[in-house]
Amino acid sequence: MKDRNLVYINTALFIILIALAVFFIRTLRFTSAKETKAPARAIVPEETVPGAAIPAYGHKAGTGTDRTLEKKGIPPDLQTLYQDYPEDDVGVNMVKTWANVSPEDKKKFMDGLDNKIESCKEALKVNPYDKKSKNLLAMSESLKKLVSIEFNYKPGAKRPNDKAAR
Amino acid sequence: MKHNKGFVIVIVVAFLVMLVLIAGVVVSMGSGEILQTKIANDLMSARYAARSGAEIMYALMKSKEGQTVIWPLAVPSADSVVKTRNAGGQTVGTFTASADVVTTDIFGIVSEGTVNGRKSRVIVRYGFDSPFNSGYPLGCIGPMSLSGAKLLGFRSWVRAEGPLASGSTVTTNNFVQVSGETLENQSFSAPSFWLGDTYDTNNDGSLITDINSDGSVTVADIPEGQETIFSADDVNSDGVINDKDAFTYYYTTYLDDAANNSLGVDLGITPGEENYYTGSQTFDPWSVPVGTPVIFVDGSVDILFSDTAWWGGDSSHTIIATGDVTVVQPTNGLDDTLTIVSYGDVNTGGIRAFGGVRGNIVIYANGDFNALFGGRTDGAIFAKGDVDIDTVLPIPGLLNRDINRGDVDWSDPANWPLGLPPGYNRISLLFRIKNEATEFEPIWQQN
Repeated sequence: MKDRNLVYINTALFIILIALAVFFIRTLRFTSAKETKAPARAIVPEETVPGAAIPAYGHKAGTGTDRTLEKKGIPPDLQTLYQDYPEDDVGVNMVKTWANVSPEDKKKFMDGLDNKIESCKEALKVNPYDKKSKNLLAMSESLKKLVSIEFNYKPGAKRPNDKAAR
Repeated sequence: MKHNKGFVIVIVVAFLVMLVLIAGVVVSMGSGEILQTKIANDLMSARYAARSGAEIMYALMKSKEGQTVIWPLAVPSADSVVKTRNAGGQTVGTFTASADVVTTDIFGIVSEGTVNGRKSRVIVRYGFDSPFNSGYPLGCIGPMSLSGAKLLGFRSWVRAEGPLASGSTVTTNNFVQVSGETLENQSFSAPSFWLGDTYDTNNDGSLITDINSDGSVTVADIPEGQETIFSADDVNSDGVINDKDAFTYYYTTYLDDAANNSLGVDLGITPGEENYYTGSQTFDPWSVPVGTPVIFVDGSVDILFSDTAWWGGDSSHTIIATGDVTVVQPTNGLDDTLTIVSYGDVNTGGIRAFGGVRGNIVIYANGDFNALFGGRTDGAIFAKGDVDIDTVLPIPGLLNRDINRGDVDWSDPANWPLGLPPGYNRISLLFRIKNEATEFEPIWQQN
């Protein structure tokens, strides 16, 4: 064999040797890294998440389609509402209850609301950001409106509602 | 001879190559074995860590017998480390363990042990009973204040069935009667509406981090070229990614999907659909069509009595609003549940003599809950902020305020109201674990 050929063969063999060494080192590193990077899973107790297949409380399929309300139509006012439906369903007859409140208590209540409205307005002049005064003012005005003129709320007449913006 | 010498070198090198090959195989096999053994050991240790977590969780549950349990319950992170028994204790691994109801009379403990990044999970179920499973009749994370009123001989009272619970203090005056427990400084966590990582509103795995740590992601946090990710997660397009985006996305996209809500239908609460309302609204019982299970209002809501007809049958209904919700004289029938979820405050008030809620009312306020004047609520109320109950005027009969427990059992998740915020605090009173030998044998499951 010529010297030149031997040099070529030896060089090739050395390159293979080095390549093998590099290959093994890289393979071992790769295997090790892959094994230690286990993806973390969050604990989710599946059993405690509301089941999508189970109907929720009070929201049975068909709710709203078989209601007597649709058969009877919408009552024009609260008085008719109380005549058409039992108390368990519709609640306390507010019109009757208000009519039975003594005139003294009515006056006391209305005067109390007026005083609160005034005091809240004063408080808001001092501090326009006083949250409790704001809430109290709004609630006092709403209740006053509700019971004014002997509870003359007419629900049949729609209240302003920005449906156009929907 | 010269040629033969060269040939020897070839043989030696070839031999070396073979040796390296053999050595490589041996080392590879050895390393693999070591690795496998290490993995097996870690998994075994993780399993023991998970079992330890389950047992510690059980001990915690056992200690709650006869008391009020707030669901879900978890082992505090400080107690979630497994150590060796030698002096000082070397940390072996960690676990996270939590317990929650599974059905009306079974609760489950889920414990996940972690050792060197390898995890193992243990699930165990126990039987339990409790005379009352629902939300807190009145709870909040901030301070709670209840006050009745007195002028001369006239009084108006606040009567609360309890338990009342606050993450801070509970203050009452002389005209407040609480028949149940009053619990202060409770460690509550508020519901979270993020479906995955915080700031990844649409849960698509792409998010922008809060670089300046100001509690929200703004334009200032956007790295160059990530404007699209920001736009996708800023669902209400207000230039900020925060809890409000998570709230909006959770309801209008996630819960709206038939696959994610308990009705199994499209709820119609995405923008442009029939149950989505843009801007602030004023409602009365004639406003929302009969039988609508849920509405979403992108704004504030003022309601007189209710936003939909409550009479004529079961009219359970949910209102979700991104602003404040104010209900004057909330009213419903015995078979109804009105659920209000507000990103802002919930304000209510009325006249006790007019009755009010005869069925149930469930309220979550991401801000404060305020109840002024009189009225009656039966159900569950929880505010992330403060609670203020004040009868304001001392007119007996007209302005008393009653806060009662609801009558719907929540131990079965199927009974939770539609739209109940994820992580809403639920409780069991006089909790008792069923006898494991005679009443309910624990069921262990490992994976």
